[in-house]
Amino acid sequence: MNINPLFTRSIFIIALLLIPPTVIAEHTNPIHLSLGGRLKIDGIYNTDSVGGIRTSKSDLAFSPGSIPVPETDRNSFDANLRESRVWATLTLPLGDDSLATYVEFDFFDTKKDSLGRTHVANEPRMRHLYSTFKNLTIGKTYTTFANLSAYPEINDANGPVGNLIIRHELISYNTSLSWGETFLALEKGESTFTSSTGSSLQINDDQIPDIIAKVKFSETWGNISAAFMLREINADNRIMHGVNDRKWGAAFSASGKIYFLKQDNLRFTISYGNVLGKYVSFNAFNDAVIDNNGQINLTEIIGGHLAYQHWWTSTLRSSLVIGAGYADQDTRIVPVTVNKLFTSTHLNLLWSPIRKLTLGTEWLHGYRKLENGNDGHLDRIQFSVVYKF
Amino acid sequence: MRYYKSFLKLALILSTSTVLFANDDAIKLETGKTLLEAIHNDEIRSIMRQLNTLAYEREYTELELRKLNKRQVKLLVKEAAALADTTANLTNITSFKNLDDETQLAFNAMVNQLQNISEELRNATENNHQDEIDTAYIKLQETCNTCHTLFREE
Repeated sequence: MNINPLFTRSIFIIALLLIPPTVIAEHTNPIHLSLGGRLKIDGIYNTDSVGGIRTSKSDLAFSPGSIPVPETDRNSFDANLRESRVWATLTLPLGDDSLATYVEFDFFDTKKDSLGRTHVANEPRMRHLYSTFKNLTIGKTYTTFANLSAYPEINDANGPVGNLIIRHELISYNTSLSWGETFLALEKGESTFTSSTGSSLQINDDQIPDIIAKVKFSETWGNISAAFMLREINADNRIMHGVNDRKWGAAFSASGKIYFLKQDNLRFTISYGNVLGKYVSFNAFNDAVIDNNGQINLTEIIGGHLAYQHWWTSTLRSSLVIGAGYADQDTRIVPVTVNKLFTSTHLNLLWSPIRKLTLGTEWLHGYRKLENGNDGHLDRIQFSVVYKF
Repeated sequence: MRYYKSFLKLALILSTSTVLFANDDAIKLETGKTLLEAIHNDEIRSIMRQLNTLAYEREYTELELRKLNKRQVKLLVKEAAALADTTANLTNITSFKNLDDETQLAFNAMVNQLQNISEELRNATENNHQDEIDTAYIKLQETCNTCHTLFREE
């Protein structure tokens, strides 16, 4: 059957005219998706090689517990872009408000690293995945116990000794007030122990989440926060069958960022408590020591850092960061080779010719001391280029 | 055109300075403050400082940065609005009306300039255009500094 083209065209035009205006009107997509990230390239020179096998990341990101004791005196140079990040946000309208979801990856997963001869594997690692709706946050992100604005601007991926930055699963409720914010959170419990032989144990059978409350005062001069945490440390029959020792402990932290002349600022964190283990300095100390009878002894830890940032010009600035962490370990239970004190010093010069680009060099000095008095040092020079997109 | 504007600006500054130096009476508000002390941008400066450093924060997630930016921008809108209102009301006070015509004229010119920039800042912050906020803020700083040089009592 032959159909007249003019007839077909007329039918098409009539059909278009009959479609209700709401359908042919420009559709406003209620979903907002944005993508971004940063490219970070590091060149790192270590006076003491702390990396060991290729899969270790200690040569690339400062980990105080990996400072060699005694010193190895083997220098090394490494380059990597593992601290590059990609992120996505998805915002969906929900009632009068919106549901926002955030996911972020870096390339620091070292589990599948190759030997690094012809190809260095940089497997993606999920840093954040969380959703926020009104005042509620659910997912994996930074602990509520930390104040992110107190984190200094440094090249090193892990930060100074005494910082509180860890990421894990949580549910948090915050309230915005005229003077600042309050937070209440339940976060993933994960007890870490030092055994009587000095090795680290993770039970992975914790039953009660960590309970955290925080108050943050914000003003034009900066902000100060105070956080309180309650944790149950649970041994769950790990050492001796039938002995399920558990202890409650507490920790407190005060931190902030205070502005001085122009953009100069002081950032600080000070924390104290007997359940700080996994929260401070990337678990440099464990939460507790556990004896051969399965009994728990909580470890008192004090840690913190102080950072002053001076802006030489509107694009050139330096930060001097000093951090320390000390644990009161019971050497009647654990060997004298366990860690007692860590310190770190960062000094850098960063330049941002444009906002999205930062070039910088940084000197890092790390110190580690054991209960028996033996110690080790690490010096590191790190060149970094960061481009945000 | 650029030199023409600069010349006009210089002429305004010179003429105003002559008027001021010839006048021993300080331009005072009823509160005892000098006139231009009423127009202060310390708050705006602090807010801009926080906005600037946010751009270099390394550990905040994008969602948190947006939230913090939004909060600072809201404060900026509020301060810009207050600044515009203050400048608009300054010419109504008694001590201002007692000034001679030339001083009033010079001051009015500066007030108009400040009002325009405050509006510019308000629009930029309401639309959340960071580049426009930066430009308006630089203009605001320049205007404030010029005004302070001319009118503020040391």
